[in-house]
Amino acid sequence: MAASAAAVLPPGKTLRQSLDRDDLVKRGLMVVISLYLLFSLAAPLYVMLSKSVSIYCFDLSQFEFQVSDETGANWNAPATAQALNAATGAVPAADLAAGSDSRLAATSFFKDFSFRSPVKYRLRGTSEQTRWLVGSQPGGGITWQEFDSNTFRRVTLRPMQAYGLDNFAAYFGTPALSRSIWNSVLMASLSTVITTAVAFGLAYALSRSLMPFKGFFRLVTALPILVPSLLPGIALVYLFGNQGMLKGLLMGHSIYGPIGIVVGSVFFTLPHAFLIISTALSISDARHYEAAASLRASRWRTFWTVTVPGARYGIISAAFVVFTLVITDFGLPKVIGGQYNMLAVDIYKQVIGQQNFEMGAVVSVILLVPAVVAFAVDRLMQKRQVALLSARAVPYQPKKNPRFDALCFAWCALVALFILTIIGVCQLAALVKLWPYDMSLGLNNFAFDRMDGGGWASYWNSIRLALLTAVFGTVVVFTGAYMVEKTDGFGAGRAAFHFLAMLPMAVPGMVLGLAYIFFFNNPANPLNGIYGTMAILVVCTVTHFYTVAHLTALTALKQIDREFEPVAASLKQPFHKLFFRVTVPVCLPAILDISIYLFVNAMTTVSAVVFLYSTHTQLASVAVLNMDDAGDVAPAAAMGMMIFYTNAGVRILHALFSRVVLKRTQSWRIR
Amino acid sequence: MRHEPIAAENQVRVPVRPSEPNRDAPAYLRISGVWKSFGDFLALKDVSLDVKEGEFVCFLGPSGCGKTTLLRAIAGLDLQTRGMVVQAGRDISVLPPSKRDYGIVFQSYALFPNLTIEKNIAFGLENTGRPRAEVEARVQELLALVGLASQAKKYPAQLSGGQQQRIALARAMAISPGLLLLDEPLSALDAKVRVHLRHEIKELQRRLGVTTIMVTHDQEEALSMADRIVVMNHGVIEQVGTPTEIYRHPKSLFVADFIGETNKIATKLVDAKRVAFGAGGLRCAENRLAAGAEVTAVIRPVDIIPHAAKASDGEAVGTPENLLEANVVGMEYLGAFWRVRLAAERFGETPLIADFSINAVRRLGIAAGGQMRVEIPAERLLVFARSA
Repeated sequence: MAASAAAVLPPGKTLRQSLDRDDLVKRGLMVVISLYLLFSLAAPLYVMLSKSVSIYCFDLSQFEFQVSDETGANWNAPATAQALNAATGAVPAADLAAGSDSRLAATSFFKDFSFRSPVKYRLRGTSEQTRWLVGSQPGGGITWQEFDSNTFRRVTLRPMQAYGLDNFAAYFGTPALSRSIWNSVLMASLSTVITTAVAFGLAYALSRSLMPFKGFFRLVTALPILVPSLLPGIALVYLFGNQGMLKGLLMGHSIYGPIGIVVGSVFFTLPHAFLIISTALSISDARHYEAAASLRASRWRTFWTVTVPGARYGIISAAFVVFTLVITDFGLPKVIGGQYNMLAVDIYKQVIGQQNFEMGAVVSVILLVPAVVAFAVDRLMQKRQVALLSARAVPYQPKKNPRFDALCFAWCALVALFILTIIGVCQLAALVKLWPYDMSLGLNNFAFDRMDGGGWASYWNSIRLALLTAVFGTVVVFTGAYMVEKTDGFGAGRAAFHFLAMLPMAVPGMVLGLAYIFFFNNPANPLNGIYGTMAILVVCTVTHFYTVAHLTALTALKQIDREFEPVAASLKQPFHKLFFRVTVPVCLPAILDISIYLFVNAMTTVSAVVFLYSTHTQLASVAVLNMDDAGDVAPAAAMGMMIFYTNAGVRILHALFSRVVLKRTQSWRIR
Repeated sequence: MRHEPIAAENQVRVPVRPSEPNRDAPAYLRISGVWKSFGDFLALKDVSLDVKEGEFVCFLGPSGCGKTTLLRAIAGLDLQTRGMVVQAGRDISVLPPSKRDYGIVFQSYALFPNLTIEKNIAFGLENTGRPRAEVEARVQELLALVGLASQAKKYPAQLSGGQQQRIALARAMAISPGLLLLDEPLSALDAKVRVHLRHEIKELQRRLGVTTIMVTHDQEEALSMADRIVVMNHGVIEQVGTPTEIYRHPKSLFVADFIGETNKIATKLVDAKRVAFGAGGLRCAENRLAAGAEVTAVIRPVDIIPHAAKASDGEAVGTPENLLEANVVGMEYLGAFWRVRLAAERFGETPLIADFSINAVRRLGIAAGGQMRVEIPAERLLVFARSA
């Protein structure tokens, strides 16, 4: 009807739905989980960013002194510290640049100061921001404070905080530091090229040939996920180190440095790249191959025109994942990097070695840049790859081709040999009594209590951390993903939450750990209480690995019919009934995957927690690092193997559990 | 979207109602002045509608016409931007879905995959203070009602699409809602099952007497099931009426065109009862348009009456001046009838399409390349003002 053409929404108030109890509960939950991410991620990162642009220096014009005569009754004219310093030259200009913890003794401006003299001193600030300490008591302000000379000697001046890019200027002005950027990018790029190529060959062989033992090769390829990234470093030391078995193969080059970093990186990033590329290859459509064959395209041409383009997003995505993993990894270059500086290790050195937190923050910000870029590109690629999926695709069925199959088998065998050698060497190192002098086997390297690093307690702490992370993390992640995916309205809030959930992927562990120091180790923060406890380790680890878990949950939830919630509401049933009776059971496989993912990563992670553990909460993975650092390489390997056994055991349990329990609870999946 | 033609007259299934719903009864569901905007786009524009108790109403229209949006507003799933919805005297305009009184069946059925058929049906009955035995009895009753009592212990994935559909219906009816909402409930099924289920749903609705609103884009479905059809387009209601009214007396060109097939002839109105057509004119249905107006004349292929090429004695012709000579340009066999393309100098560029029964074709010896006469019944030749 013609009336529609000019229809305009009549003025008035837009209707808003009244909320029922379910809506309130859902919003409450969403607020809780958003607050969690806000405090465990956004706030620490913000504090770290502001730290990187914080500059401290003593502004002497801010302090004003007055000195009495010996009677203590008559006072000299007031003078600023600046004027006093100009007269005495007590503090050279270079010493005025400071860190947040720098202090300047007030007495240094008074050459003839004696703490026994009856002379009294007065101090005041020229602005409200002026701060000083009397012993450890903070003081400040613009009113005169009087001190006897005995007290005055304990007065120290505090630096003023300002914001600016001076820290960055200092960083780029120090070639020893800024060279790390190039080093990190170079190492990450090299590893990316090699890993992606190796992983592609592997995935191609497993999906396009009829070679034997495919299951075995898949299993072996997954093994590196189960160990900390330090472990390949230790194995390489045994193989190619100064007393290494195969040192001759390097022809005089040292394994400590680029070679070790690249080889080790290929080892620990291979499973990630393999998983992504094999997914991309497995969705290729057989009909494209049939079309190519009917056009008489050669195998080589088919490879370049069908196989590679079909998997290109997967390949690019894998490349970026590997790049991010290598550039943010801390454990491996710490063990095998030698004098070759990498960004992630620099953060550790600045913070733990030199206590220069501002510079640590600067390096963190620099490390964030490539990680964020890689993350953004990866997300873009993932989206496109999904768009390629067609419901009508016909799965590709490889045909027998003895020569090609043999080639594939050889390639897989080579890669499997590499992985098994690395793990095998660690196993051997853990069991040999004193390499290379006493090669008999024994368990003395497992007597962790005799070494530094926390002993067996650190192992049990790791188990505790992994269990808590798995349970607490799965609950938080799954609930959060449910709120994002299955609630209506509140759109901006949900989008913001989703963004926060995606962010951890782009934040390197070292950066997160340092941000936690800045945020939680601040007496003014009410959450300061969890600093140094198991709680902060759990929070940090959950946050660190949040993104992958969130995406897993989201994928599972997206497969559930969107109309379940409306149906349940129309049947007057509360959402929690639907959640526990339908949503959770249907998503059980994904929930188990998330918990095992969090468990395994909590066992192996070093980077974030290395800043946060305390004497009561030492961890196995950190113990590997510290024992290696202390020269106890064999016990470090032994502890690394303990982590491997644990993760492998948990994986096997998970597989058994899935078979038994899922068979019973998921019978509805069978038609 | 458009479904295969409704062929000869005997195939137009216009249900014969013994009694029309009482026109004077107060509306059970009253929708007044409902608007819905998505940003700048207006999905509903000032929609008002009354639905009577026990009535089966279909929202019919092409995709994007706003029919689903209107249903979701009634369900409280996508709140309307302006306007009021009153159900059984209660203003439900802004109530959340859980506070409204309806059962709903979606196109996907949304059966809970991990619960058995009986658990699915019992879902809305649990936690309502009903004793377990009563819940069980009610579930059995509903299973029997939809004829699936033997499948109680199976999971949804083990049932056929049609069976799943009926379970979804049983689940929605379990809580005895005052209103049943069906969102394209049949479009995921194949053609045969769909026709069968149409009848079943209609039967069930009549037995239970529940006020029902169904959204569909399938005109046949709407014609065969609805007491009243609401034809929508571009967010407005084009026409509300019984299937017969909608089919026989479309109020707009859109409705005439959307429901069934049409021949459209662009022409001019000569006077109130005649349109120009080639050299002469054609009598048409009465209308209130001014003489000389630019109009589109519409005749359905099934309404064209075939006559032999030569007049015979005793031939019944309703409107002699609407009897046209025509050449049979082409014939298409469509199973139940023949689709015949007719041309003549008078028709101008576009040929007329007519659907003739197999019988008529045989009896009159109609063949491609031959000649025949056709009659266009004046009361079936509808005219609509042509908008620029």
